[in-house]
Amino acid sequence: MANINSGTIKSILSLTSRNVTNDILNLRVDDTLVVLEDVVQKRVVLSTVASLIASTTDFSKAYIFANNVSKVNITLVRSNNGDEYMHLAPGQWAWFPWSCSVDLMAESASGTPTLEVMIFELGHNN
Amino acid sequence: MATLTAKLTLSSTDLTSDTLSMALTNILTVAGDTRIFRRTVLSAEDELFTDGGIVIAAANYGKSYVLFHNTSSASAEIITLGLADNDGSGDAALETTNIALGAGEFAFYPWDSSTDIVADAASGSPVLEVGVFEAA
Repeated sequence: MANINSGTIKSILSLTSRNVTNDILNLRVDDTLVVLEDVVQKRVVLSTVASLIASTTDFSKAYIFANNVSKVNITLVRSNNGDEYMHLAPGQWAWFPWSCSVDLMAESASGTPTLEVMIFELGHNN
Repeated sequence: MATLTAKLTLSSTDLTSDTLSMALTNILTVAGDTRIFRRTVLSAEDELFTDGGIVIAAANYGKSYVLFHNTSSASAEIITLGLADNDGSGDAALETTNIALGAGEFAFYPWDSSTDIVADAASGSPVLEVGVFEAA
């Protein structure tokens, strides 16, 4: 089946600081990503029991943007109460190329916070 | 107390009919160690980092913001990152993979430092750039 999508994303990350060390930090990395498959944007209401964010059966390698838009800590995990990948405090976000080898799940420290998720399925490994 | 300004920009005009134009800035408080270094990642070898066999040791940091950047330009030199030692065997093997960095790709996220991070290369000996900024 032909790919239903073919687009590019320009991603730029800059890290700057004047006081983290005596040497002023001015780091920038950028990359142009070719996306051949699905693009998903959603908001997921979480609980203290891990919810599935992205299933390995639905995607191949994908770029994930995860943004904690709530006021409660959110943890990205392998499984319910399982290995912890990332810890998103309120307002914090993550951007990473998900290998799609294990389901991606998320759970909250308490309450029912909302996690904003964008998934860009590359459709290739590079 | 120091601050680190992290800005992520995502843009696309041809991904969907809706133009993507997003920019997020986060001012992060850094109170512990700051390290930026480059390491060669070997293929078919989980225990590639000589400092205890791991890329970032959970025992050495509290919660940190981490940057991983595959500086290779060879498409076959994919670097896989994951968690170590979740089988209780006491080794530093890469047992749960969750990030695959193709040539030139990068990741930035807040690492909770509960588990060591290990890396492996699909082939060749790509250079991984790592930035660790320990949070307050």
